[in-house]
Amino acid sequence: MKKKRAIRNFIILAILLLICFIFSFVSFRIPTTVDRFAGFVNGIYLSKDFNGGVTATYTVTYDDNFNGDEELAVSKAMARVESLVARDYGEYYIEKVDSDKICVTIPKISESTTIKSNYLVNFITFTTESVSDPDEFTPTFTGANITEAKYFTSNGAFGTLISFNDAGKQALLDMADGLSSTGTLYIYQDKDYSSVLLRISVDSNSLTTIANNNQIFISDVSIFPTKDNAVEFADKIASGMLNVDMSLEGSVSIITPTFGEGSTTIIGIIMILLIVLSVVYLVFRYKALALPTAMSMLCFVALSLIIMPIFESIQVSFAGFIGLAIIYILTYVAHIIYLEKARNDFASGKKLLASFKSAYVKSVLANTDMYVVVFMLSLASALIAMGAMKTVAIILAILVFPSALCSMLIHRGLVKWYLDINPTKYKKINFEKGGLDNEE
Amino acid sequence: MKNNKSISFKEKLTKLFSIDYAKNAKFLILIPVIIFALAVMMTCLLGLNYTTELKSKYRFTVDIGVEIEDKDNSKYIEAIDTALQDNDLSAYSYDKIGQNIYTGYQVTLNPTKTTFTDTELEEIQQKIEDSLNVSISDTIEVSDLSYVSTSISNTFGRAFIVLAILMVVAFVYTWIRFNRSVALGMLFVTICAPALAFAIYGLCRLPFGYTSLAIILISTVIAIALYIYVMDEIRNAELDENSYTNNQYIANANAQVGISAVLPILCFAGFVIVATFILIFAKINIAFILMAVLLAAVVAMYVAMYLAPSLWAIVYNKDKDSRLRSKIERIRKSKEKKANKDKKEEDNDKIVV
Repeated sequence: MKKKRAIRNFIILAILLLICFIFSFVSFRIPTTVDRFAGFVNGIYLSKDFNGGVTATYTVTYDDNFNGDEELAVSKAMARVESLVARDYGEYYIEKVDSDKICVTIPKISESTTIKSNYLVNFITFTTESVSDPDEFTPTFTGANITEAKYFTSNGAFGTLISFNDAGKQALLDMADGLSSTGTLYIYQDKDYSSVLLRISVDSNSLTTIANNNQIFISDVSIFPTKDNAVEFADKIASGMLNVDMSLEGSVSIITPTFGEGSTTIIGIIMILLIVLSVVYLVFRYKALALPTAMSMLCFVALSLIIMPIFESIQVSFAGFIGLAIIYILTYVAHIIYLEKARNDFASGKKLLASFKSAYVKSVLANTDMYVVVFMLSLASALIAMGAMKTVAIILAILVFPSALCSMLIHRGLVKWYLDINPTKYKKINFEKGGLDNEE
Repeated sequence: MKNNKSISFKEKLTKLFSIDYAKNAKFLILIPVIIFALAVMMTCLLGLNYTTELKSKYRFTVDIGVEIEDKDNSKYIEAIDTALQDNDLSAYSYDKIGQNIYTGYQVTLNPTKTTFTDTELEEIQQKIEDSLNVSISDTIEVSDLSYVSTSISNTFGRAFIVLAILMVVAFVYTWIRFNRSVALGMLFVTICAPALAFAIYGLCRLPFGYTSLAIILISTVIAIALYIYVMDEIRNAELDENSYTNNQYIANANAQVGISAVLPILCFAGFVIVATFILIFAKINIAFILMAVLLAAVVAMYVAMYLAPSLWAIVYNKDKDSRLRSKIERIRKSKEKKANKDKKEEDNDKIVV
């Protein structure tokens, strides 16, 4: 009865895995909708190495409020852009071009061919005037007056809290004096007075209150319908504090993958060969026991393919591919640790079922230690590191969970099913008997 | 039947690992110290062999004006190459570029020690454009040559912070989980593995780029995993109350981890070596990265299975391990309790006549 159930379970799992791998590679239109399911593999985010990138060059200028020279302006702008880009991308390039330009190259994620404006550093101007002639206009409230700008929520509303210094306070009080009963506070970016970044309805009293508080909280569901909108706006205002401006030179362009087109196919082939090689080793070493172990490894591959497209932070570059290979190898080793401990226990004289039971306890402890330390390392790297190190760390930190699930739970379950089919024939699994008992 | 293939293979492996770790610790430590010292010397003399992405270089764009089709790609690249050679320049990479379709190339030149003046750059740009106007089409435009530089101090700085945090976290975790001696060994692992992985680049002159930091991280991960497995094997042997010396514990543990973990890793490494040789002829930059991964894995194995255990062998004294003794005592009591319980149940089942 157990044997029949075990065989049935293996067949069901094999069918589920097959369905999962079909869904990984096949794309189709979702019935009754216009949406298309692209397949798990096609949903994986790829970095510039494999999917190309988006690049643009910006000229950096600074105004009288900036304390420093051109080199410092470029350096500060680069640092600021990098801090913003690093939140969304694992690998990117921020390069200094000539003495006054910055080249920003980011991966082409989800076929987007733009560089978000909140990554850029621009002048910020607050005024209650609708500027018609920029040459005649002298801003009194600029980024130099802002001391802090951050995302803030109040009563569930998304917003931006902007703090300013006393000079800014005085500038706002002067603007309030010049206002009639109602007016508008315009926020301009880039000294482009033809296009308003944001406008807020104010009157003399409310502007005076804002000035006296040295803070303004901008929040409105029509202005910031989502948290992302508020965060982006806060980024722009905070960038304005540098008193440096980046203006686009030429146009934003797409650029080919670093490793050339078709490199994803090569990588896919290498991964498949790796999986095949691992199964061959299992068959050679454990014979029939290769079945449950290989199925457990395939469960890990399937789970990884399902999980990776969910996280936009997993952007697979070449370093990321190495990270995938490493977590696969660690999972593989965790599986083999269990089998080898069972083999040793059996060779020391225990019965077959008992040796798998005791080996499981020992291997869980060893594997838990390994996973805990790897997770801590990868979490620290994912939060602090930059570039390729961060990419690898994110992959390890996320995929350590399906790895642990497969090596410590699923594998154990599958081995139990196998032992229900074959509880005694140790030669079929290439185990060597120790002690005097002979179970056959 | 005891004498069988797999046991004798394990015995052979045990013999391979059977050295006096405590006595030879200074030699085991000397090897990586020499490697590191040589690497530092070579780095000081020759600098690291940075990849082009980290070096300052010149770059320009060539606007073809029409969509670049695959069949025309090599023709355009050849023409640009010839134009560059006529100016004693060479290209590191040609990346297709465009707004929604690819209509041009971003040409990155190989880094050169020469720094051109603005006038020289204008002349070079004009010559390249004239050459391409003749060889391809007179509508081709060549942009000004720009000098591109990258700052990596931030990336390196954060990498150091990460490794420092790892040292502390791994040390504390292994102290809690095992004991102080194992924790000291783990400290050794988290210092030596990344240091030696970094030294590979200095010594072997492998190209050092952003991916190299990821490889250093990977080396550390492998070393930590292997070290934990080795120490876990030793712990299991101690709990079984074997009266081995420290060296014997390490030899047996290394043999076991060798079969469980190192053998599969070496099989994958063999596959990677083959892939590396194939790729040398196709994409040499990938081949160098794979070579670095291999060497990093070897370094990790050496640190985890020889270096750190040798430190453990020096500092660990089983007789003074009170935590081990109390754990053995707990296991013994629980076994006694279980045996008494079974005996009681057996007595209850006996039929008294």
